Amino acid sequence: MANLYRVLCWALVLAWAGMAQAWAQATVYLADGARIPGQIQQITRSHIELVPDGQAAVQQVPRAKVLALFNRKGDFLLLDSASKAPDSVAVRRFLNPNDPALEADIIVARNGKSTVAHITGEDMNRVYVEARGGVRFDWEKQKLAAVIRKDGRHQVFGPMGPLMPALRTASAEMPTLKEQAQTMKLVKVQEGDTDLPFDKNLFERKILQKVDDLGRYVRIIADKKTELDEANRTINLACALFLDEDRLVEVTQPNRDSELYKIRQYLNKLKLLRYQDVRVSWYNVSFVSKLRLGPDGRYYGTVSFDQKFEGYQEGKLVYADKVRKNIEIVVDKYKKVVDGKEEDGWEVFLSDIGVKRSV
Amino acid sequence: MWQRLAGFTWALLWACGLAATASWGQSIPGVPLPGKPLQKKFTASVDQLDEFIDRFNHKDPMFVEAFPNRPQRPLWAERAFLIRTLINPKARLDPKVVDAFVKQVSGPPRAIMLNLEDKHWYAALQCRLVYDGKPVVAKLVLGFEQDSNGVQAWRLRAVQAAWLAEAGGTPANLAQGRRRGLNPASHGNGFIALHRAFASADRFGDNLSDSATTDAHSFAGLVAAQRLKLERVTKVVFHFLQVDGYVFSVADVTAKEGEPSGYLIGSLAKAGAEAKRKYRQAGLALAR
Repeated sequence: MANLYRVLCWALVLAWAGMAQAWAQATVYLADGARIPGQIQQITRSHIELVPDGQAAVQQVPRAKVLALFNRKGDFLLLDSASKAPDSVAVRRFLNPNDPALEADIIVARNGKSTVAHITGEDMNRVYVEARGGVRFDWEKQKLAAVIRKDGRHQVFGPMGPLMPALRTASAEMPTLKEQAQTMKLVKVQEGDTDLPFDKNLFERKILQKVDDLGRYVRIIADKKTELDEANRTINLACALFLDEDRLVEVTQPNRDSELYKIRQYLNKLKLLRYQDVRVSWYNVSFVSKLRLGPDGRYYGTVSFDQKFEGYQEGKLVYADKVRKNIEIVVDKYKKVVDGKEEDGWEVFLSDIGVKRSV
Repeated sequence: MWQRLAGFTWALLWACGLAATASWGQSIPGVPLPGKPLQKKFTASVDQLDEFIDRFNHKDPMFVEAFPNRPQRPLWAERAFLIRTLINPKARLDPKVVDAFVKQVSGPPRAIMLNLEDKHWYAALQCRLVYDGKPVVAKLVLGFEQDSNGVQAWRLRAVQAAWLAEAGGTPANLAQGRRRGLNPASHGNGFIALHRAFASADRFGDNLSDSATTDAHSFAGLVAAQRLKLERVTKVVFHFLQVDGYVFSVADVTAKEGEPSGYLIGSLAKAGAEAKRKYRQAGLALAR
């Protein structure tokens, strides 16, 4: 009987260990290609202390042999010589992660580009995702470096060594990516526009795509590393998203009334901002209003989203704000010829952008 | 030993039960439930007036499902809860009036819905203007109108400004222009479109409602004569007179993160037919 009791005790311990393995996905990745899943307990200048899964004893791994560490929340530290060594704050946050949970998954491609989206499935070769606005696409796994799931689990696609450059790029963007993933609000699109002369679902996707495009162009224009010619070309592309160049953008200013600028004027000001580095991100597209027929025959609606702005001087953040913005959307009619017949076509344009408030 | 074994077995079952609770207790079948940070943001912020009306009407159950301490069904109980979340907590409304309003609107026996296409709601725009080179203020009252062909627009119904009587503007001649109005999504970003209407000064009269007051016509005449320029719209308040026995207003409220913000009810009062007539006349300068 005592033996039976001992067996059951071990069964319980193993059952818990199994659960821990399923949920606590902390892993140490070594330069020789090995990986050690377990509980990372300490990170010193000389070694990493961890309790490998299924073992009770603490194991020390020389830091020089380690390329990367992942914790159970999907945070990672890069410890190779090419990466900037994490400071004590980063180490503390890594060992005691308490960031808000993610609402979406983060996908890091081998080319260093990262995306926030919802992973809907995967098979042997591909990962399937649904991005903002319900746009679905997939990635070949061989083009991916890593995936960080909203529940904290992570996947690494191949030996860690060749993936390090991609993770280094992703690491720099991780605060923004996590913020996007934490607040990726479910897009609420109004029902009831059944009498629209165009495909409602298609146009909702087009609307969200245009808002995304503008966010991307704004980032390029504001980026101080962008060459002047490219910035000017991007301004032209951004202006082309709008119904015309009379569309107005409201800009908030510290301790002053907000001001309105025409779109090109606004983008030019953004290009010439006197910060050494500017980071602008658009995220959390949250509400798309019903489209309504206006007096000029166009359809009008509004989309809400958040903008985060950060201005840096000599590497230090000197100005930052987060504002909720509402952008007016116009669906305009044009004539197109199909098989020799003239038909109505519809296209989405952006219009006035108002600032609601700081968030 | 058997007692210890039995106790151990219970402990094992309890542990498994806890694990199951931890993983299943947070989800509601069939409803995408946002996580905590998203819940906080999602429930606290009403980003658009259209979203306010959706929530008020309980159009999408997701709005209420997202609240962590939501009441359980029936529907009217959820809706009553949801309407209370749309009241600005800093507005200090009379709790008895709020209770009676919520009870009447959410039903039973009859749930009352707001409707953007209904006539009985208005936008009051506090504006800073420049009249003959001098700074002035005015309240512009716009109505949301729908024509028989389905076209919707915001049109100028009335203007409240003490200086207007002395200004003596020439009434705008509607016969010269088409009746157009501001686009029907203008309320989504604080009526920025009004700036373009002022920029096309000679056609400003096209934005007048058929029911516009004489003051509104005079105002349009001054804009057309380029004596009046818009500096900025400083505040927008929406006035709803659609609910029998009540008037209430909605405005965009700024608050700390996590607190209710966005489009919320800022005033609510009992109002019979006579009180509503006075509200239109004195508060909104609509009827003469």
